[in-house]
Amino acid sequence: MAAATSDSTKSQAQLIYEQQRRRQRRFSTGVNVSYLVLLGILFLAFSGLQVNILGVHLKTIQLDWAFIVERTPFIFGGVGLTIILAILSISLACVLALLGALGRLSKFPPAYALATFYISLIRGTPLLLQIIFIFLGLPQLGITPGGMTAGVLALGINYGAYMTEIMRAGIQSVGVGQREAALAIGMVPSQIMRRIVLPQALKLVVPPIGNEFIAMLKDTALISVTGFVWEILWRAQKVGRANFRSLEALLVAAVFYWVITILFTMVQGRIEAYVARGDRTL
Amino acid sequence: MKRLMRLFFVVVLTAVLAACTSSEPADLLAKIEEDGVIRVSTDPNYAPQSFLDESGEFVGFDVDVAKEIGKRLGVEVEFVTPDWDLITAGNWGNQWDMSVGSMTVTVARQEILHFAEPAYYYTPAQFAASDASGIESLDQINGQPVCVGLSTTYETWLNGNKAELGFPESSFYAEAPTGVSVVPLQTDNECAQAIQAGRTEFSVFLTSGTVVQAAIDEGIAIHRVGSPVYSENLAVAFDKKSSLDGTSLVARVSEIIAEMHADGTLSTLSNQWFGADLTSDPTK
Amino acid sequence: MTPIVRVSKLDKYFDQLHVLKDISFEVAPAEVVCIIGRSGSGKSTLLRCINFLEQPDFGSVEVDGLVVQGGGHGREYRQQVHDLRLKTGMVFQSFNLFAHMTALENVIEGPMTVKGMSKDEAVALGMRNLEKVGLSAKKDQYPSRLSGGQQQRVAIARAMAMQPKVMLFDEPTSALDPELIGEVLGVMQQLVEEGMTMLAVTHEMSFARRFADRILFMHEGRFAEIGTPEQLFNNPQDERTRAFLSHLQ
Repeated sequence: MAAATSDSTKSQAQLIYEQQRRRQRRFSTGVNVSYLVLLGILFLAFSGLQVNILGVHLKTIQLDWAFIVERTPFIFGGVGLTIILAILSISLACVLALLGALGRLSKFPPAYALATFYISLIRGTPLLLQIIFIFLGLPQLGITPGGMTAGVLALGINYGAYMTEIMRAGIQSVGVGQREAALAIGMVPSQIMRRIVLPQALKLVVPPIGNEFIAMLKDTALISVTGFVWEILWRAQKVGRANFRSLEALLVAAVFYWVITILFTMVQGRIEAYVARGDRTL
Repeated sequence: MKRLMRLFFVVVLTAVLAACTSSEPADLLAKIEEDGVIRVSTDPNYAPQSFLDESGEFVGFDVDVAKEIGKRLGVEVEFVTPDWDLITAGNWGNQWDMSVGSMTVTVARQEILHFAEPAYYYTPAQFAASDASGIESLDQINGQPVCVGLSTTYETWLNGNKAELGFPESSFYAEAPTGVSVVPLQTDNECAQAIQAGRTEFSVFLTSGTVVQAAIDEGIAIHRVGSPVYSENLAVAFDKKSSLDGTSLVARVSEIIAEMHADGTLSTLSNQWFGADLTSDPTK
Repeated sequence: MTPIVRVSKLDKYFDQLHVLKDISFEVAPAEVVCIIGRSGSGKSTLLRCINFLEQPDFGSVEVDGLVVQGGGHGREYRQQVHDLRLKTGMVFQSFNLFAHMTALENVIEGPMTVKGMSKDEAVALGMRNLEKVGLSAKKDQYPSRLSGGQQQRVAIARAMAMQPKVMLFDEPTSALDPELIGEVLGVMQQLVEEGMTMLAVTHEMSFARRFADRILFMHEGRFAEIGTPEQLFNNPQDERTRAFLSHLQ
């Protein structure tokens, strides 16, 4: 009797809530199972098995697993460098993007011209070409950057141009009221930019910069063309070619890039949540 | 702000002047001896000449030859790994001093690079075809697409620019096949791998006999077609455009190579890496 | 007594639109002046011209002996405008608290960044001003955690921390829910009682009636009528004033 009472006293809101919870749980279980199936299919595709299903002969990709096991540690040795490259490059890109955005918003003609010229030039040419230009062009000027320096310069300059728009949007999203309030207490434009606009803008640009960083992690692979930076792809290409096992070596590289991307996407999710905390729309 | 700008210009100007008037030793050999290090470019795409072992160490015939040269110069060897295109293009910007990279001596390359005399070994240029192609003799190659590595002598020869190579007539054992379309891939090894992967754009490629052997050793289903078509002299190379004078280094390395031929060091290394002695000039 | 604010022959255009037409008036020290009128009559623009958030095209503004001509440019002009802003405090309709700063940080930003005051000194000053508006307990709250009324009170404290000669209020209660208007008016009343010179654009006729020494009624860029609250509310002379006031009832 008591049990029946307690059951019947469950409010309708509670029942609906529980039903929603059940639906959510069912969905996430379904997603996880599907992930496992997809991973399984991916593994099968590289298993080297040949299967006959209902008279259809299916071939899968054959790999030299002994080679993979033997060479994975060497390719793994490039993971740290890839991450360092991306971190250094995104730092340079942030600085350039900020300068570019300030130039784009500047009323001083040469600053505006320099910023728009930079953005147009960099966005109008392929990244790979920029890397080769910096690597081969600068030594002619008597400046000989190492492969690492050239790579960071090229990636930083390239991403800086693209991120200028992010920075500009961030700066412009800070309401005019904030500037007026700062003017009214006697702040001058440089103080307003430094103390009022940038701190608020930077908060807004963190998530998009995170996305750029994740994209950049994979674009570091292009640095391998200089031959001087032993990042993941360079290592994979060399051991792959010399042993006629390019597919195997590149597959190992692909797995590393994917895992790094998943990890940093998780990190970015955390950062986004942190930045968004306590924000309440007015 | 203005003061900052002025400071900036002063720094830049000073840097430019410093770069122009730096008083480094003008002789490359002297600088190498002073530093105690010679920087050698190698392209670790090719076993058994130059490749990376499981622990990422440089190994191979070229690598051992470079180390022996360093030993006889009395300096350490430091390997750098620019792409092959960059090495053959010259104008190294003093980023490395010497190439021990199985580079064929050609007329075109001699315009931009110095080569040590004599060559340190000789390889035969060898056609190979996929086992499935049914191509067994050189005359079957006429009219076929043929794969080569980019910027190699094989590409030049197949394109009918034999004169550009500048080899002595006695180096050539056969005429280039007629009516072929040349498919240049990034390295010679890509040709073998493309066939192995089942690509069908070509089933014939031309490369060094050592690469063909390495591919066969790796179990790729290919075979030699005919006997070698020409012989290449492979030599140590130096940048002609270096801001330092390389004359004495070229002379010293040439002496060392001659010694290594004479005392059998090169033959030993060749037997060790190729299973054959490739160090005597087949044209002599 | 010499006036503390003197506006002379002010003209302001927005493109083709003549928003302020030859405006002149004076404010005496400790005087409370309310500007009323329909929206679009130019009252907010007039207030914003006094600290040059809008640049007047002709005429001049004088605050506490500093005269700035409209339509100027150049370094000297910018310096004058800056000095003028230090003599005025402004409160906005939409509060405009710095969103990334706590209440206390909002209040000490001006004294520290603009006046170069030490942090200890600025915090002491800031706390006095927050106490005055009754929000010292909220000093570490970010604006997004404060109600509209609380935000506006912090904004008043921020302006007062710069120790201005005159306070400009630009419809300070218009963006507030009715139940929050009282607390802001209470703080304004306190300033009146302390003898602060105030110039307020407002729709709060009860405040104007009780505390204003003079009321300026604006219509299409001009003053249609000027008078004490007594005169203006009980015995308006101009028919446009009558129309405006009857509309409010």
